[in-house]
Amino acid sequence: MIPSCEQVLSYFLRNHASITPLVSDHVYTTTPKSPTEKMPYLLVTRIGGSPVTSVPLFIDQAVIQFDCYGGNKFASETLAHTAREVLTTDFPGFQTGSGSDAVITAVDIGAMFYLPDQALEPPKPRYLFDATITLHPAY
Amino acid sequence: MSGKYIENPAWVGQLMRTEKPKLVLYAFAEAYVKTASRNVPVHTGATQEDFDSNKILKKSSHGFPLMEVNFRGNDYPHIWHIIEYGSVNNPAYAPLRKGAEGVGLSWQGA
Repeated sequence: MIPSCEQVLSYFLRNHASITPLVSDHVYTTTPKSPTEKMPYLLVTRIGGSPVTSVPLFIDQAVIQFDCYGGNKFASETLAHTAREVLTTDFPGFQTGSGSDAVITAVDIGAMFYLPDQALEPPKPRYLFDATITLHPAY
Repeated sequence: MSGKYIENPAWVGQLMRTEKPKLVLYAFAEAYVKTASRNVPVHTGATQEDFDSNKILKKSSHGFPLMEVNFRGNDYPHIWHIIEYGSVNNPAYAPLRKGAEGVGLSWQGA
């Protein structure tokens, strides 16, 4: 079965030596109940993507949105840059430990931009970027 | 025999002034609008009662979708980015990005 990209990604980032100093283990796939208390945090959400072929249903391409809440603008940008870097350098390859093993074959980083979250009062600094992750089961 | 290929830098403009590419472009745009519409949170969004669902997606001059959301009776007029990119209270519905992907286009911007 095709592994959950969000699950594999969040485990990878939560345990990466470059990410933990910035957000501790606050890497989520859904918004935490008390977002302000959990900041800084990194939110990983699949917003799209489809398998390369339906038969065999083996290689998936997931479009992932990364919401980087660093607490302030500069920290948010640093978090986004760091996440982009570790995704391109350390994420491709065999990923295990999350509960669903996966082989990451490609990471394509998309647009990055500053978009404060105005649903919070006062608005919280947030950098966003997308990435397309190509992956398949570990067999 | 050998020759040197010199690209005409105006070829895109010249091509686009003819009818066929325009038809292809408009067909893509139409498909894009339809796919994007399916991902607008008209029925499921937490803010569904606060905006006019008929005015979320508009068409640009080329026929491609533009998103514009106005809250009724609120001095906070633009929430399209909340629908596209999400917030702490709303998931990223991403209708424009999902729509682009659905018709095989690549999303290059923000």
